Amino acid sequence: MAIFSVYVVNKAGGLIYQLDNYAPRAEGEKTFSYPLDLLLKLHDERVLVAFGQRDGIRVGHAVLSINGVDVNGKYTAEGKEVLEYLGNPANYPVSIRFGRPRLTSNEKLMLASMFHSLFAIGSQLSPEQGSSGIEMLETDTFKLHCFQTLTGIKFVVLADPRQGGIDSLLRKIYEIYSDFALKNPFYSLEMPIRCELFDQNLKLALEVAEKAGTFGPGS
Amino acid sequence: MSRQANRGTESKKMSSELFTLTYGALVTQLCKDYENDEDVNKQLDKMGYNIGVRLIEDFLARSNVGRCHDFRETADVIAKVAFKMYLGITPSITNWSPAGDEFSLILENNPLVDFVELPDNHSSLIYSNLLCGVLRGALEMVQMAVDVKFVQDTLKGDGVTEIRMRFIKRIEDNLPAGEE
Repeated sequence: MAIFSVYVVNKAGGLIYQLDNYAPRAEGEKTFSYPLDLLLKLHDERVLVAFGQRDGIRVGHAVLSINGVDVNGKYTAEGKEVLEYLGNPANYPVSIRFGRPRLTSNEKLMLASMFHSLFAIGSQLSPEQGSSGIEMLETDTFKLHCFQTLTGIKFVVLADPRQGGIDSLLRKIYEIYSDFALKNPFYSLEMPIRCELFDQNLKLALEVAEKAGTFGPGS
Repeated sequence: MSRQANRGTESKKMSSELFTLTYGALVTQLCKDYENDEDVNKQLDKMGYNIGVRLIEDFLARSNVGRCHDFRETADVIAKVAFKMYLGITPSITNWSPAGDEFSLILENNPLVDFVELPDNHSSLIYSNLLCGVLRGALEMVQMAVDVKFVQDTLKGDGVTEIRMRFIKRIEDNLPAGEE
């Protein structure tokens, strides 16, 4: 899974499409008995591990599911508060799944508009006239590639740092967008893309890029 | 590696007769619906506009041309790349205004009007007005406001079809970053 996500941002900075393509690392479900040896706290509507570490569970991981049923923020699926539930010895033994909290769609929307602004700042900071905006953002765990078309749409791909061929992948995504989103008469410009064919072809393109990328030449 | 070779939906050979018939059916239906040539012209322009705003992305994705820096470059790209790609014809560019903001595209033959004759009761119908809308819509998406109209039409007895394009202004709001 060397290509992690794809984001498409419209001219105004709104996120119109998002695809996550990574399998989260093993989030084992573990059985716990009272008392819980991890200290939990409530943060931002989620129950996170504040202190304690074992078996791959780290500080900052969120409670994802209890007894096989996904939790809903800080409430269990039945509507009870998670912290209360886990504080009651009668509920044990309980099996809990912890993992890195996933971004909610609202958070993704916010991050996309923030990136849109940073992109503009990037080109304004340039000492030369007519610079492009941010093309690549590199960290130790991923590289973010961005391609802005002449019409202002941005295609953003997050991939493994060693993954090659992202430039041609970005162009390919542009082609897929112009085919399956724009040629669909029922799709309105600048609106969220909800086209099956776009999804399918995008996933196909990602697969092809992953296979070809890591051992091919740059593009 | 050629980008064209990657496409699953490679340019399918399709009969231009079906295209001519489809366009003709569209225009005649509009004439029945609106009964008034001016309204039909407006509708064709609107429809062309909606096509243009989508077609531009397809054009940019497939042709890899960069941003044009002046109207002359734009004219070249429209005539030599765009018209060739979508209609298979290469109009010639003439009649530049002294300020360089107006030019004419001369089409020897127009695939939309193969086999078409305009009857007398539709003398003010601009049959290929869709093309004007397409050009206007497409250029608006790359921040150029233009005015496009037919000044000569073989359907009305002229020798060639002439489209006049006039640059109005650069659209400054909502510029993509880095284009100021």
